[in-house]
Amino acid sequence: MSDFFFIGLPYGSIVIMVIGTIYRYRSSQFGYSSLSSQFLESNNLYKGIRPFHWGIIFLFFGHLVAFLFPRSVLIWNGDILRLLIIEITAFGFGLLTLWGLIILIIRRVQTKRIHAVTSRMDVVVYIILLVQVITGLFSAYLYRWGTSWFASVMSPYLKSLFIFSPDTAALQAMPLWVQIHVVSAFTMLALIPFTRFVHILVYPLLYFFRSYQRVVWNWDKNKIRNSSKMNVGKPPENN
Amino acid sequence: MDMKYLTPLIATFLFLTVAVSAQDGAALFNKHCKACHTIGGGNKVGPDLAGITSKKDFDWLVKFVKSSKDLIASGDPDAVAIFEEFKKTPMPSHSNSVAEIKAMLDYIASGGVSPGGPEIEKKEMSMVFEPDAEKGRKLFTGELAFANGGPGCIACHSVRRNDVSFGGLLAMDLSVSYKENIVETMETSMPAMINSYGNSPLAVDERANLDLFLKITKEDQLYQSPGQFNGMFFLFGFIVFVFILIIIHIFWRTNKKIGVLDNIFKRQIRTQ
Repeated sequence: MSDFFFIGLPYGSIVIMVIGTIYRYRSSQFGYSSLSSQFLESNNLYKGIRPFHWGIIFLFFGHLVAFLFPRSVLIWNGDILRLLIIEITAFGFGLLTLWGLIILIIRRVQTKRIHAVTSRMDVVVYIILLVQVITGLFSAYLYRWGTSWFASVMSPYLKSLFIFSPDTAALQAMPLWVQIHVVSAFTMLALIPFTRFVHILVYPLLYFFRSYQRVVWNWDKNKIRNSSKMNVGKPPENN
Repeated sequence: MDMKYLTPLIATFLFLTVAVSAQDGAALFNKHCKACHTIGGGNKVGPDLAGITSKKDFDWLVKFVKSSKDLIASGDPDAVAIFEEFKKTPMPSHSNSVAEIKAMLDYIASGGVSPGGPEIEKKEMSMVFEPDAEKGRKLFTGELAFANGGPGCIACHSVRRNDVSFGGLLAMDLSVSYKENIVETMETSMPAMINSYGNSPLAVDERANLDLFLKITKEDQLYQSPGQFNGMFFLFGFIVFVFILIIIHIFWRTNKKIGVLDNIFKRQIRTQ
């Protein structure tokens, strides 16, 4: 059973992700986005989406750094103050992610207009994210100094997957919270092509480098705004 | 160049090359093998390596050093026998080049004596090593890094001591678990420890220092009353969370918070 979860699932997920994303990119490019619902509700979206994304991006790169540079992380953690700083900061970002996610879930449940654009896979996305964040927070709190043991115990497991010589002995001895966290992470990987998760792969990086766009109105805006007679002359309150 | 200089030059070069590779063999042996093996000093975690080069051929030894697990998995009878004999603990894989392995094997074949370096060997032998509990404490907390780069014990373990704060909670509390050679036993038998220290084994003196530290810790338990950190960890994490939330709201304070269609939507709902 553990072979299925810790060896079969990771490889299966990566294969599904690679083939699925390529297939979806070639077959339905218009769906290759986060399927924004900002047009239908933007108040709670604003409150939830920034904390969620700041949190999850920080945590994602935190995991990536511990995987790619485990020695450096261990050297950083050699000093207890530095260890406390990184652990507490990471835990804070975890809480931030959970806060944002809860707001987004409440928004999706409460706003009727959004029900119309919510698919079954969106429900799956919310459930798996919730599982991922909660198990991560519990692992960090109950089995603290995760930054150190991730670098020394989990990084070798992930590396063993990448060099096609999987060694799951250490992972099997890990607490259940950590095992669930790992399994749901690989499941998320497999879900990328079939859900709004695909937007992770198409971050509009070119926006940082493109030139400004000039918006041209074909009427005299000042004249309309300053008119006292025309109703349309009243400037919009929120623009 | 005059031919009469060429021969002594080549001879000197060859001599230096041999001397350097032998020295390297000693250094490599100390770094990679010494923690678990001896040359003529009896079995430790792994077998005594004296005479190994005459018992096994070079190719087999290279394969075993590079990945004993693969050799065991392939069903090689000798590899399996060693695995069974030494508590079913496979030797960690090493990424050394064939030349480096050859240098180590030459050093082992020479009986652990480096040419040109017997004085150093003698000096090492004559030094009496005394374990130091304070060094053990620093190794435990990570203040002192392990020679081969393994993580500090505090990553997963804690001990009840006033001078060791904030131990890890993943693995067991080691306050009263001291037994003889506990560090070596744990290092070679527990999967998470093998993952952590398989490629960066603890040096003999580091183990001794840690053993002594754990022994003293067990004996001193009556006098220890360290503070608890769990609640503080959550509290500080929560403060960081609130702090980032405030920054986000300050940084994007000019962002449009209500959609331009908000009034229209509300009006629609009212009339329904």
